Amino acid sequence: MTRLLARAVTVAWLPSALLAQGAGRAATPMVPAAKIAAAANTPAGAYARGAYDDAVKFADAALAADSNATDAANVLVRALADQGRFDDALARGARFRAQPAVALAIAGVLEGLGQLGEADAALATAERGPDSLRATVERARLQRERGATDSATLRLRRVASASIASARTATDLGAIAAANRMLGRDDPSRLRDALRLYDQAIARDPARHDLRAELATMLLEKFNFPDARSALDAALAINPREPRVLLATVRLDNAEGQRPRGDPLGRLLALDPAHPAGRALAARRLLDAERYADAEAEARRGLVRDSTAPAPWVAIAASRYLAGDSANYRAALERAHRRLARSAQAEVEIAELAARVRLYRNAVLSGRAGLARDPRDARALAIVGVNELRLGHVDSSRAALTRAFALDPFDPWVKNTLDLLDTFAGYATVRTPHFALVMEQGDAEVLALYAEPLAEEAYATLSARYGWTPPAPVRMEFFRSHADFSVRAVGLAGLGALGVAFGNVVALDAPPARARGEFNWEAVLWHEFAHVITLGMTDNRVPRWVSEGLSVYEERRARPAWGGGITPTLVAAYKVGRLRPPSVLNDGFVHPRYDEEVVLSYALSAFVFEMLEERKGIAGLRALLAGYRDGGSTPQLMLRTFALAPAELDSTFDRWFRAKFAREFQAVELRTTVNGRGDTAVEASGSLRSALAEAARAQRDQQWDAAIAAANRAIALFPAFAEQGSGYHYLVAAYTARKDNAAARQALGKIATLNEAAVDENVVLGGLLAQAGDTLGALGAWSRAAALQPFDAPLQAQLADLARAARNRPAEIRARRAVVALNPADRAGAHYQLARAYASAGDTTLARREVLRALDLAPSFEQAQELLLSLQPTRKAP
Amino acid sequence: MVAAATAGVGVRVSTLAVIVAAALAAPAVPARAQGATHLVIITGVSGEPRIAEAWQGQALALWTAATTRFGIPAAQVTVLAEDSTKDRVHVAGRSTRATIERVLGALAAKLTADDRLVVVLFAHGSSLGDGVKVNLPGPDMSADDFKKLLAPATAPMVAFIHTGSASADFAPALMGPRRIVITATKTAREQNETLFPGYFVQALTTDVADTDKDGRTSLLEAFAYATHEVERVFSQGNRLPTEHPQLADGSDGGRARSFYLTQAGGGSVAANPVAATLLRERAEVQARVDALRAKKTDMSEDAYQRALEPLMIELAEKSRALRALGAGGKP
Repeated sequence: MTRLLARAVTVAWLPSALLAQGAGRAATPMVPAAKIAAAANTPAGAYARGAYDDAVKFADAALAADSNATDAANVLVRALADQGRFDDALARGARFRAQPAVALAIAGVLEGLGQLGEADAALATAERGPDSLRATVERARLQRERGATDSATLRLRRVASASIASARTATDLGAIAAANRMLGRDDPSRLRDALRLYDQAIARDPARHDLRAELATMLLEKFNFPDARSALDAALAINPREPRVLLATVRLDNAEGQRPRGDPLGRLLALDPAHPAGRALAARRLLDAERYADAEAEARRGLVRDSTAPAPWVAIAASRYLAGDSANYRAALERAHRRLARSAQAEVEIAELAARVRLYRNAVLSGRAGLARDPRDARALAIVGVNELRLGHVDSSRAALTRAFALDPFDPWVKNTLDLLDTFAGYATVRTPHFALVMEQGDAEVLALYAEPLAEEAYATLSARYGWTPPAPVRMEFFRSHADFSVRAVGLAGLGALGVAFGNVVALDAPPARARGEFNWEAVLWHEFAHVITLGMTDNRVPRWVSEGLSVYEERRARPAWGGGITPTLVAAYKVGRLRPPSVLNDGFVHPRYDEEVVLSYALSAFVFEMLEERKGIAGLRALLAGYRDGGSTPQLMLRTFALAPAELDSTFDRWFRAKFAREFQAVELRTTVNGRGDTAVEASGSLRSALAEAARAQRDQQWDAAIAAANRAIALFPAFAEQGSGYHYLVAAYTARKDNAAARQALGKIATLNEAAVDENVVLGGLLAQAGDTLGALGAWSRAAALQPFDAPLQAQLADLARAARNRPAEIRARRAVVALNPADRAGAHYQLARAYASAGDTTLARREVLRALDLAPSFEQAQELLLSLQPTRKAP
Repeated sequence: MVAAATAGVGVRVSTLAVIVAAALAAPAVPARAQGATHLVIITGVSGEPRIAEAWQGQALALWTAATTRFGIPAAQVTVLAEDSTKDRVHVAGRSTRATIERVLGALAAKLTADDRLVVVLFAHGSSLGDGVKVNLPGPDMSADDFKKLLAPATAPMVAFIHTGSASADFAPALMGPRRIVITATKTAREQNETLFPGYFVQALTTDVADTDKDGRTSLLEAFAYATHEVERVFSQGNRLPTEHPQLADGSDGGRARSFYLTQAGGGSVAANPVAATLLRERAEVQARVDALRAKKTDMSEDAYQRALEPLMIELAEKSRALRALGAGGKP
């Protein structure tokens, strides 16, 4: 569960330590267009560019001319198989079955049909032919699947030690590469050899898209996404229907968390509707959306051709596991194990899926079950380690990750997380009644001044509201470095989120992690704690849109400025149908169709829960969460709790939302344009945009009357809009230019109450209010600014002085403590001022402690000396 | 702890943390009776109007503080600027190599052991492989050029402050007995525009750096303040620092701790026998405080404060009594 930065949700993964070391690694070779064109009317040429029907036709013609044309026979078999026509391929290739030069292709068909014994026999035949090295690798792969790892390893070593100089073809080089890749599981140094050999093989025959797919898969497994993408794109540019490349592309999209470009999964399944791995991936998408029954049905379509195929069975097992159907889960898992003997693969995939739907404890359990089958599975160890950390079990996490790293030193997730764990020695834990606040030691004194009361307020407020108390302590980790936070959340840098909740463990960006004015860490804390409640109440079974929606809703309830509220972008997107309706809003989070959809879905879902609470009160929301805990689905629970069937939920919300923001709906439009290349672009339009554009023009021309009029028009159209560039901002600029401080104060005051991250606006507002003699107002503004930027030493010092003037002792003491903790140049002065604040608040014990600290630094500090004397019981104040 | 530094050999350059810790622990190097203090302020080639304006303002602020706050006669304050035509009241000449050699050469030759010479440079430094140089109108000057120029000044106390980029190498070149060298950077490779001069001038021209609250700002306090603020700016912006100020005085800050720009004035406190007694008693208490401080690291804070409090009360009472006598409460 995360809270996102409203304006950017990007994931820019770092390249892996291993396979991107090649700052200078050359891109995999492109296929020369001339070569393909020249071969266009040959079986191989048509096959290479994905014209499978043509390839079959040309192969038939070639075989008609020469019935022993093995090259044509190979193309024929492969072109039919790539289209999912395995029975045809087997029938048409039957007469070549004894021919070593064609047996490799036939073995692939037999394997696709689940006839593994016959496939092995065909491979044995192929071992006597020109592709003997590849045949041996394939036999080893099948042996390994069956659990015969020792003999598989012997075969692979034999291939890997083959002379590269004598490798005659791209197939040979690719086979040696594949052998090294498979041996790389136990000896990671071989992966470098595999990389080099794949590059050589592809250079020898750039039309070998299957080798590009293998290379890309290896790169993907080592988190080198950019190079994997490059290899796949090169292949797709020539053959957009290559099934192995399409499959690897889907996996890469999943790994990168990116929206698929060009629907590679759809293209794969259109080509081969029974593709087992393709169907399993389609099922996985449904599992992400927590549609377990649909996922199982989808996976079963991948068993049509081969009822033993492991990937669909793993997906079926996962769907049952996640749905809590343990008996049928075991049955499906057993089917998967028949093909994946002594392998942790099924458990690893299930663990990954469990973690994706926030079932971290289940992920650990599944990972450990995988380790019971294969104790050397680095991925299983990594999953256990990462998810133990999500549960707050630092020591067991470190143990598992350390073992994982020893087996696979090139997994950046493991490496990054271990590096992060090493930094934990520099963190302090501040214990409060219900929290363990984990912060960098240098930050803890200041940050705890704000985090502790806020966290406890959130605990008290939300526990009472939802009638559920999280077990204490809730572990809340603050990261001064956003990269560290990102590693904590997803193992890699580049996450666009601001906070993440795993259950009773929360991680978030500390204030210095982001640029000033970019976010409100207090709102993030509140948001994540709301997840602690909703995850805890449901045993982590709450759908993502529900948990995120409630978290944003609770932000808005806590402070008027928090949670984003209604925005022009949200209204515009809603008006033109770019947002999913409530009944399927979860898809807006897990399967976004465009970059902003996730952020907008957060905002919209909060309004859904506002509406639902209006209908049934907090009792309704509590009942909803209880229903999820008991395994209910959204349609069931909406009907049972709110008497709303899916269509009714959508229409009811639509009416409510449009009525609530009728004025805003009038003010905003979204215009869709299509450029010359057919790309769709959207841009804001409507009366709000016109008013703001007019305000901007008038400001540029210093026509302040016009600027003020336009700005006021914009505000009247959309009063809640207070982000940069709002009508309020134009008013501030205009009134400041006119030196009308009273009006400027009023506009700034609106920004301060509507924009959660308005640091500098609050600083300026405080200054203006102080000038005007409104000490209390100024104190409020600077307090808001200081809460956003607690490490701003000059701001804290100003705030402290103002609080003293206002005789607000708690505010003064907090600000003075912050100043002391920020290690000012004048430490003696800071301790003295804190001592004065304590003395004024009547706390002579702490006052004496602080004044002695001041005098210890500056023994001749007159004011401190006098204060010390005044604090003695028998003396009078100076 | 203290490394006696001689020119060109065994120069110990200290960072803020080392300096502050050491200077608080070590007694200040006693100041000798003061003769005249001479201040030479030099601004180099700025490269752009913004920086020229900043340096001009800093030089003027320093001139003003020197002649008012510190009581240095205007005749003993020399400002040499990149553009000597803009402010003929305060600027004595253009900051060319020839002028600098003439001004500093004359002072180096005439100052006595009781005198003090303070040189403050606002200038960019550069390191192009032929040694570190200060960018001046016309030919630049290297650290060795300044070393040769100040070589005759063995008797007076010399404080040399280079507030600009790539200034680090001036410390080893110029260090020697009775020398204090402050630089804005720790290596010649730190060639970004420095923040140090603004904070250093602020420290000397206001009370912000008087951290021991004795009513005066020592060179050590000014250095510590400027360094602290530079670090704060980089830390607050989550930026990697591009400057690391250094101080070398051969006594881990002890010499800089007792170096004030303020002209020494004669006191008549000792003439009053009551005040003299109070002063003696206060010094005794201070000695007990120093003894207690030496044991601080072995004590809990509570225990330390319990022991410190009666001493501080005693000290405060003596100071109050001294003030009542019109003798001033400062040591």
